Amino acid sequence: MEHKPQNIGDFFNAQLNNMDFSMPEDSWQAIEPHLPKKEKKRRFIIWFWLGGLLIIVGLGTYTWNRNLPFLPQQKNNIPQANSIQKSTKVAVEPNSDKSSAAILAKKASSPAKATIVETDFQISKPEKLNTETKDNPHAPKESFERRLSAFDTKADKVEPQPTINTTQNSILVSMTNVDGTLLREEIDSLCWEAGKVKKNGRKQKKKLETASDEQEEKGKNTFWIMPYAGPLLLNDTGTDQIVVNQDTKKKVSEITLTYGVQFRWMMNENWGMQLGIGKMQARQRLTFTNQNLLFNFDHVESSLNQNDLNNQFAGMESIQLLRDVTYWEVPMEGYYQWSQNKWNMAVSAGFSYLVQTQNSLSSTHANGESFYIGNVFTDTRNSMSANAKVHLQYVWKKNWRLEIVPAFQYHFLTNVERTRAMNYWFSIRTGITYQLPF
Amino acid sequence: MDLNQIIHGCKNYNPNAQKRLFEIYSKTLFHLSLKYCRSFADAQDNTQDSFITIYHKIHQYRGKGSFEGWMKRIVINHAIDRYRAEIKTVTEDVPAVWLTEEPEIEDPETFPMEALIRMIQELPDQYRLVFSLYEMEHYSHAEIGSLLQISEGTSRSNLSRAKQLLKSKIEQFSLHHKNHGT
Repeated sequence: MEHKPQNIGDFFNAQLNNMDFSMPEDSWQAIEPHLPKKEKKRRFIIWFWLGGLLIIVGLGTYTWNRNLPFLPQQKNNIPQANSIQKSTKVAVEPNSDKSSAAILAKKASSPAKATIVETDFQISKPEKLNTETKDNPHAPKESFERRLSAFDTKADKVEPQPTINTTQNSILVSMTNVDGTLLREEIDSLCWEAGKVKKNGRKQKKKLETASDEQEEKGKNTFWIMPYAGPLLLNDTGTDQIVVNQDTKKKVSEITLTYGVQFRWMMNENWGMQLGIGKMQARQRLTFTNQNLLFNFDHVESSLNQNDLNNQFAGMESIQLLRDVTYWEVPMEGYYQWSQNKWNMAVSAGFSYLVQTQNSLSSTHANGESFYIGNVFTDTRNSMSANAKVHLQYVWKKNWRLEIVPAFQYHFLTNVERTRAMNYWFSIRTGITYQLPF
Repeated sequence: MDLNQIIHGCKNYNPNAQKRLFEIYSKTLFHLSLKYCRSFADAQDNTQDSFITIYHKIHQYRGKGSFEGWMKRIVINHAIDRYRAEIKTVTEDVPAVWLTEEPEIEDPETFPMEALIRMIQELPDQYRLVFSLYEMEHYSHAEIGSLLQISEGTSRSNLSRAKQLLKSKIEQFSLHHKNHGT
């Protein structure tokens, strides 16, 4: 390691120690996209949503199982259908696997309706339709015959045309063992598609292609976040057991506030799930006119003793009590959204897990004085509500939406609790929805 | 934000810490790359690739030893990987020749920095790497041989040839400037 002072190595070493070159300014921009990102958060979110999905699937399965006894009866009414009676060809343009052909294939391939495949597009109808469909309440005989006749007419007008020699561009639909109802629907839909493709030609095909392409691009596995706030109104807090000697003369629910944040996972363009956390405050003003009001200390907890509390209101002609109830809620809802335009509408339904954090009583006298009385006992701090919401959305920018959500919530409570806590909420939540960048 | 906070931030994927690390060390690591790469553009690429590796592997740095030294090793390894194919090719053709005397600069005047960098960069890849590793980073020939997958003798030979080439480049440069009166 010993080097002479003036040898080449030492010379370069000494000289290059003083160099001063900087990286070009755009260097950081080149590095930035390759930086490692924190994946744990995303994993957490994915597990969060998967957990929600699992619960919804579970509930769905439970509900479906409960409905199972109806199925055998329906099945007995379903006539059997035999396969290929009539066939027709529908022309499909090259490279149009995303167009009408694909849509027809998709319709035909729904479970238990039909089997698909190959070079031609064929439609079959069942034998003995007239006799077997009359028992089916969903397919009146006359209506079916009329529709079938219409189908025959339309199908005959569809001229066979050469098919493209790739299987992607042409379809064979062969219906076997399909019940009358399903077959009729299939025929109707296929007739409609075939007639429309024939009638509108390229224009219709292009429209369907565009719709199909857009559908692919839109809303697959997107995550949205919506901070929200809005007015909330409860129907009734129940007061029967707060005082022992009089029912309330007047109950007025006041408009209060709900706020929180909601996450939405769109599995595709239409379907999604929502999870969130929010706070719901509610207030009701109760008016009593008894000059000797007696509080029920089995249900009211106060720092004052019973006599002192009752004496506070002795001789007053009118007493107003304020009942404040606060819940934290964790909603979990299924979400369905209609196709996206500038204005959208969607609906959601599900459940909220509720934790009560406040159930207090205070008073306001006619003379303006007010003081805190105490808490109302709560047997069940944790409860559930069933939620139904309508979402009205305005697409502000690509990833931004303004949203108004009228909501109705029904609170599940025991009979005892029902008298002391609210049962229904109405709220109108407004917020800005933003699509998260992952 | 001190260095420990920056390292901790980078381990937690904090974008501010990641950028701060780049701001502090980009120049140092770029200078290092300049000595190991063929050109300024190559050195820039090498530095960028090295930073990306540093961000991805920073969890492997346990706080033992110099953090700057750890980053420099990544930069050097990237440069070696970059020219590894060429290194093998050169090795086969180079006989184990080494000089008995160290070439010296008779008139160590101050040369323009860019010219000196260019002289090093114009060396054959293997010579440049051996020269820089030995003279700048003070690696032993055994370590260089292990890194470049060549023998110690080849490393010594390459170092001597590199110095000879550099000396002749310096002499040419001096002569050229004297002739042109600069």
